[in-house]
Amino acid sequence: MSTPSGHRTAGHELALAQLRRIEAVSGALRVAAVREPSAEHETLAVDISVDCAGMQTVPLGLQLRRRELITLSIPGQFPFFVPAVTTRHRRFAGFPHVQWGNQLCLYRSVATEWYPADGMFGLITRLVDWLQAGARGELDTPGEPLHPPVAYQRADADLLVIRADAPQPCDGVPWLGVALARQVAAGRADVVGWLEFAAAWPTNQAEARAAAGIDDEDAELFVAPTVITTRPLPFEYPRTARDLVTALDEGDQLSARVVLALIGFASRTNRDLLPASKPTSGGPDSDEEPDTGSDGSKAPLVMLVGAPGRGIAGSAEMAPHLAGWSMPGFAATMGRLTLHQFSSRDELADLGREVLEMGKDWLDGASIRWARINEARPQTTVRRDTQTPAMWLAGQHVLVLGAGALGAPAAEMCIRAGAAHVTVADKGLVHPGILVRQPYDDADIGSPKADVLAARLRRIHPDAGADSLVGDIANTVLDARAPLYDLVIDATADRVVRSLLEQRRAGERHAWPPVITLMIGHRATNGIAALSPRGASGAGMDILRRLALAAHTDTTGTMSDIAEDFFPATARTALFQPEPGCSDATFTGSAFDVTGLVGQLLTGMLHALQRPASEQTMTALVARMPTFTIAAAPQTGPQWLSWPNDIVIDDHTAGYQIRISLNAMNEMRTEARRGARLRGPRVETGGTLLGAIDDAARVIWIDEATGPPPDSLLSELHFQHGTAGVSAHLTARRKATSHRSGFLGMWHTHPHGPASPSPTDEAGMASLVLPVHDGPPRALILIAAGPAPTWQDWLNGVGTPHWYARLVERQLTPSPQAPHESPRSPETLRHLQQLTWWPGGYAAHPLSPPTPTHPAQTRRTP
Amino acid sequence: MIEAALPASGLVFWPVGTGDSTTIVLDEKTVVQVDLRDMKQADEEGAVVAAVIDRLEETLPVTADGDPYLALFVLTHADLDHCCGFGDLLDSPILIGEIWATPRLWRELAEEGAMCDDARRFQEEVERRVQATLKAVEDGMEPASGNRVRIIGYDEDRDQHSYAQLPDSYFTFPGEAISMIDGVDVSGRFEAFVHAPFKNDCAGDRNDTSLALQVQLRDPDGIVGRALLLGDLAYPTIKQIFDFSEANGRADRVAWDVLLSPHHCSKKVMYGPDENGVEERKQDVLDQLDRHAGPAAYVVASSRPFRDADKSGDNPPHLLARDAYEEITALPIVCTGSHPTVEAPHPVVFALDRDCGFALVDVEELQESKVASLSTDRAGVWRLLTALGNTAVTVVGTAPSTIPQQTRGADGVREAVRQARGDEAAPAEAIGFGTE
Repeated sequence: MSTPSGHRTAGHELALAQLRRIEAVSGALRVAAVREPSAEHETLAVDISVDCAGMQTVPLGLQLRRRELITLSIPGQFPFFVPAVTTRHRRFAGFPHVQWGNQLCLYRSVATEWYPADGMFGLITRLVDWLQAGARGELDTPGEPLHPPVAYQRADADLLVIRADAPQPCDGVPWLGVALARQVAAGRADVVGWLEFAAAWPTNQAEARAAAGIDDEDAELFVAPTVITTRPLPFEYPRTARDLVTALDEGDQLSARVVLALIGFASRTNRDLLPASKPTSGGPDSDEEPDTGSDGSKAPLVMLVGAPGRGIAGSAEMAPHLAGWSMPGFAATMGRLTLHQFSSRDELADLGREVLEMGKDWLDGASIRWARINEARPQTTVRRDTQTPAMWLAGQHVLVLGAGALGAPAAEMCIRAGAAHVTVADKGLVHPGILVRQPYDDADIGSPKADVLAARLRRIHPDAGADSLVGDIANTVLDARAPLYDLVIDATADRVVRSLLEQRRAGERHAWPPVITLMIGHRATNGIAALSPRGASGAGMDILRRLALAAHTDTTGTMSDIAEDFFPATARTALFQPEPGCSDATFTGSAFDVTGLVGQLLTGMLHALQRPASEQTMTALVARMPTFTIAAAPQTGPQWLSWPNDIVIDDHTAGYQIRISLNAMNEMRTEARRGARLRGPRVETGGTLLGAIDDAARVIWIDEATGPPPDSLLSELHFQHGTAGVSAHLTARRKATSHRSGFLGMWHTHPHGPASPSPTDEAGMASLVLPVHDGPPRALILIAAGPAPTWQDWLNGVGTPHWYARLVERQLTPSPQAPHESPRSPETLRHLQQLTWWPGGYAAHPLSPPTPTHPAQTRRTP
Repeated sequence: MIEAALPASGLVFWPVGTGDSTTIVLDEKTVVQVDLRDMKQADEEGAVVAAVIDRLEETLPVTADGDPYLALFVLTHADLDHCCGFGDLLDSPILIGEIWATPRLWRELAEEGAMCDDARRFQEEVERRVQATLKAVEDGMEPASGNRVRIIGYDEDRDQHSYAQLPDSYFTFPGEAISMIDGVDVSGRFEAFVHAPFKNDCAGDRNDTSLALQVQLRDPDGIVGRALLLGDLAYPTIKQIFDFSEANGRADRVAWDVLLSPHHCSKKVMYGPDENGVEERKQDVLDQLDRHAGPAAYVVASSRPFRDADKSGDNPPHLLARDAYEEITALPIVCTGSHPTVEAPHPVVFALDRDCGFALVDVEELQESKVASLSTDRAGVWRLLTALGNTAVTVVGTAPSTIPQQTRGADGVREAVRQARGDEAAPAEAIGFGTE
């Protein structure tokens, strides 16, 4: 052992001390030699002898000795830098995860797999795992992604981004042809397509773009000669042309002649596709730089070499691993001239053969300059967001309403998640103040946000479509384009937009795609999102109203912060207006808050969308930023709420859509069932409806239905709505819901009857008598009816009854044909007198004696 | 079971505790013994050892007179662990055709160094043979079998000793090969290449003057097995042997299929002082051993079983040496004291093999071969190796209790890491604190 040289660092000492501690336990690991760093910043090399006795070995696995001598080159900054692990021998060369013939690649991702605190203990454990797996031939475990072969390249090498899936050789025949490459920038080209040798190769840019499926008319394409072999090349790709050609020849009989001819055909095509702006001299003495183009073309000459090697270990299908050989310019000329060998003119054929010999000589002595390859083809890459809710967006067309603090990050997230097209709609311009939290640049100030954002989206993902709609978003909603998208995200936080959207969607809710509505609290500490799946009875406004009701009526207090933040009982007067003048009032919050909330909310919404369509319901998600103190935030996690669809019926006379909540319908059914059991199957019943009317959206919500008040009168032909307790109940509900739900109208039943108003009903509606004072000037009359089977089914919990609904305007003066003055036949009157009358409420017995006043006479006039 | 028959040629390493006793079988008539350790008393280390002389006497081919016949006895050096029992061998009925000795014996005698009785008996026997040879030469004859002797190596003081008068043909020096045994040319079957002792080492420690041989056995089909028998040599000399051979284009003379690990698996082969006198591992000699190893090379430790851990100052066998050899070979180091088990060691038999030169014959195969030899009358072909391999090993004294074997391989390393991390450790005993 050498003595410390004086260049040891604390890291070296730590590493050595850890190794010594392992060594002290047993002879399983021995420190065989320590070679001091000869200068500052050099590594401390430690040879360790590792016990490998008894490791199971298979014929194709690493052939381990009983012990293996391993060299650890420990950087001075250990454990923050990982030691290199090498062998003195090259017995492991050619195995996966062995680079440079003797460097063992223990970690795929140092960032996640290396634990500085565990230092040498972790490294030795990993080394033993590696050796053991290698001996079993499982360095590439079946089912695991393969470590790609290695082609060593220089840092300044050309960059090739492989976007199109590579072709596979079939029937044991290598694939010969060209890659269609798009020149993206100096030194970078993207492979966007492939053309087999026998296919028609493009002769101009238009054909090339068509072949690659590229619309952009500014795109400049060229071809790169390509061979894809049937057999793997060595794990470490050859570094000399001779070795490469030998490997190609041995594996697939691809001789130097074939390689040069392919180069020649590709070069000839590139002269057509990308002619040089001025003639070049060509020939072996011309420009040596490969990336400046050559041979009468400004296209670089890159030969792609593919060999099986990418994919999943153990699977029969191995996608080609691709490497790119950046060739000097004269290779293009040489390749092209070798084509003369096929000429029918003897002197030209001789020339071609002569050049071929020159080409072979050149290949024999050339070293290979490998291009840098960035993989982006689906064949071999796994998206980093795989198996996340964001995957739902892949290939979707998304309309984002609003390009502000919510919409801009939402649109960006969509495009990153692989949406095929994103349209952003906003009328606003970029102001200096929004740079605080919206993804715009200083240079964008004064430009329409939607335009700037769409341009930014196109830069992120040139292959995806992104466009902008600059103007009032209301028009966007009105212009009926929304149903053409796969998803609408309302990120406007704008009541008008929400209301309009609710109204537009109501009539064609099965045609509309899912709608996500995003909202952020006034201090960006909470966010809420609403998902309205395709066909759901309500959209964002509807769902937010439900959320408001739920937050206000929740007795556990877990949603009080949400109620206060989003649905305050009294309007917030201290509005935040960031700029002087009539700028929009907005919320305070940072980019951290906004991005964090939008991310959470959208992830949640997409998660909900991943469920089967049949299981999707109207859903709200509450997200909270971790910025409140615990005491102020009784509930800090996300909260989900969901609601089944309402029963939707239309009042065609007034043009309103009536949405009966399941809750309200169940209350009506419960009362109808109780009545049928107690009073007889045909005795009518009814009660008060609570809810709200939105005249803008033209929606009537029925939130609750009560039973008949105790002073009501019920019979087989008539239902008379009483007044006892109604006022108190309505007051209580108005208070509980913060005035979101109040008196809406009345319901009654026509058991076994038609869902249409009787003459009496018509008369009643004509001069509606409200059971409450100060009632609204209109009320909803709802009749639940149906023939016997339908009615009985409904009572038993199956299906719905037939409905009749009409919004009745209040008469300011009593009708000249008031009900009590309505003419009735003597038979009717007699019949009425023979009826059994029941009180409302919970009374279990009919009124006795059955001598009621004329029912109609009990109705009050307003 | 005729397939179980062993080849005629091979090597046998006897379980004799920490010492060397190697038998080389050329053919059914020619057996060579290199070093001897035959212990009739209990081994001081409690090892299970073989009574080699008794076994040889039972097994060796016989002369026309009916005497067991050992064609050649080679002594690498005169340490007790290499010549113990030589006196008994002389006193036995066994006829030793020829003896190879080094000049070191005479120097030690002259310098009145400590020589064990068996070494003295050996020296006396060699001296007797020298005289007999001189007499025969004087009579114009070859010495008879039983009187033959060969002096291997050179000593500066040779002029003071009788052997110096022997004709040159009775001498062999490093760099030369021998293929005559007891007056018979065995060049098609056997060749011993002499690597050491070096002239410069003649006055050094006894171990450093060990005879070092590469033995090549060859069968009629041209299969060659190569064994390196390097006595008790240590790093400097072994390094020199490899350096000389490599430098002089004689790499084939250091090639090996079996290496009898020098000095009973001593770490001195690959550990020695650096320029500051601090012990360091000598990777260069390990690399050389690695470079010249055959495709399935075996290292034999002729020693008692390995300890579970070595302490400073422990005698061989050394775990450090075993571990270093294990970096060279994929095959286990074969220790004569524990082959196949510590409780019942068995002679280690290597037979000539087409693929790997020498192949280790496992004990079951030996036993099958023995059954075959009893049930057929083709006894002649493979009788000797089989018989030697199946000789009973006497339990002299008590068998050592089973040494707890440390966990080997990946589990061993993981366990070492676990203990070294220490995160599962707890105080093993109560510890008190206080002001007094």
